[in-house]
Amino acid sequence: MDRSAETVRFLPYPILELGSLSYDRGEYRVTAIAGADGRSVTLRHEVQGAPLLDSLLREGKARYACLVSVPATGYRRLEQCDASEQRVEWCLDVVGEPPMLRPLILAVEEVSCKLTSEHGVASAWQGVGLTIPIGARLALHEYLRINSSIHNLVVLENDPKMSNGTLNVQQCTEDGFYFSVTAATDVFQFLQNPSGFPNHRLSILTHIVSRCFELLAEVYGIAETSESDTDWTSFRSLKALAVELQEKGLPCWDEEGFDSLEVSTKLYPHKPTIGERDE
Amino acid sequence: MSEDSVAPTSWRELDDASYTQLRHDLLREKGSDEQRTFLGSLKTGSAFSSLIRDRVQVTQGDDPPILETPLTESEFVKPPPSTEQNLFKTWRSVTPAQASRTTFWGNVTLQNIEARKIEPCFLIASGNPSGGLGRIHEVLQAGSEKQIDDAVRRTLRRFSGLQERGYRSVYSDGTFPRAWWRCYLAHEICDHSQAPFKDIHQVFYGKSGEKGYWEELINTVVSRNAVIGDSNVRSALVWALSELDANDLPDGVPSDVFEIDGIRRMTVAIGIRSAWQELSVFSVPQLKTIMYEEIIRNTR
Repeated sequence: MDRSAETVRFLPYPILELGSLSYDRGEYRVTAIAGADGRSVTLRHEVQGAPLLDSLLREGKARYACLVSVPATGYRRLEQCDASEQRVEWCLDVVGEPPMLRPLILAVEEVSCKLTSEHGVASAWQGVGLTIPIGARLALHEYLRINSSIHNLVVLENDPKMSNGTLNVQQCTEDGFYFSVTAATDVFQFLQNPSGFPNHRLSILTHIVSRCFELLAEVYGIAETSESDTDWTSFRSLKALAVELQEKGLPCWDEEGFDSLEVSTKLYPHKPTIGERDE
Repeated sequence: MSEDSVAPTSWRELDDASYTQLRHDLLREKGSDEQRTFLGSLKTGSAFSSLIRDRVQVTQGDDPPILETPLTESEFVKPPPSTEQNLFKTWRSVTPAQASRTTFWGNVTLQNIEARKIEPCFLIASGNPSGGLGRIHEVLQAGSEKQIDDAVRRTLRRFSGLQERGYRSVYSDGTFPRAWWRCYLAHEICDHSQAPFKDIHQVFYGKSGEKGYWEELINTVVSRNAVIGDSNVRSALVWALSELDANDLPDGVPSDVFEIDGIRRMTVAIGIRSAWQELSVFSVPQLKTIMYEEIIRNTR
């Protein structure tokens, strides 16, 4: 067997997933529609260009499924469904926070077959006789990603006791990770309704984001020691944010040279426009 | 455990933002005056209570249940299995979502200190003859900055779990949450199997007596999104382990099956298998057979 065939056949059966070469023209797409209750999602599984999978699903030898997991509460369950439209529900009192979802298609019966071009598989698989075990992941989707923008990590609240024009940013760590931004009534109302001064509002938000990054660098910045009590990677939202920074070519808060003001203004630059007059 | 539809009680807990701020202030500088003041407050319940209440607000809700009988220092540091089960009974109505929160357990511990069911010096005790009070004096009088910092961290971990260590802390570091989670998961496994609760709990508690076995197991479940975190898979594995007699292991079962190295090798082996087979598709009894095969195959 040549090396490329080994690469194509690194698992003992063909798998349909992003980057896999098992199928020539195969595609596995999943659209997710979040339920209004915040405790469910409807998944629409769609397989194209993979006749092998089509027939296994039709014969009931494979099923649509979704792995529902929340590591923080030790929750991980497999939800299965015969139909391509699958509703997945969870109980927030048990899972603790919105779960990670990984759609997939599974073999539920052991299947022996000899693969041909009719199955839609790549040439490296054609002519191969195999036994697909129960539990084989025949198609695997990426984790459905949570929103990673830092703006989604900010929860704004009003504190009428605060002096006009003031803000306070604090970190919260129990419900995932987020920043609690408390604002005086005038600032709070302005952020809710900037009435003709949208860029001023955006500048205040950039100011808040800068403080958020400053706090991250303060608490989770470069450690003097290898102290294990400053581990931010267990927070999914922070991991997603770190990926976002990396994708934009910006340093992370635990890297040398991280500057909160520079990063925040690169992410959300101020827009000093003519036409907005200071009162 | 059943997921019934009755709305759970909204328990009062420490305010997330102000408690997070207190921890960050305390952990900012090793050996700081703030750390010394904090350790000094552990000498009396009233001083500790004032320090926390001055800095940390408490949310709305019902007060969590308080222990019926006070615990001794040694019971708190290393509760025997029967004490762990009594602790769980006290907080049986707590949901897993609430039990994974350091803010919830921080308030529980604070309330039990204020009700004199435990003393704050228990939080720093290590099981040495000098006890928690002696340890406070030792650290404050002769401790290095690092020792002071370690003592503060130990106290926070045992008080509530330390969120900055990641999710695992609430399961493994705090006396109360650790007892709760061991018993909760043991009940969950009993619901999925025919195994007696006592045998399952004993696996979590550590059959070999080696320190850190539970930590290793729970770390795999909660810190990584690993297959062993699946409730069916972990139920089957622990069920299979519960049927083994640590002092009379059958032929083929590795001698370190109840030690950290053994559980590590086993979870790696199960992880490798799960790379090509989604184990959650099997029933718990089927998985128990698979797990037993993996235990046997897992010789050094």
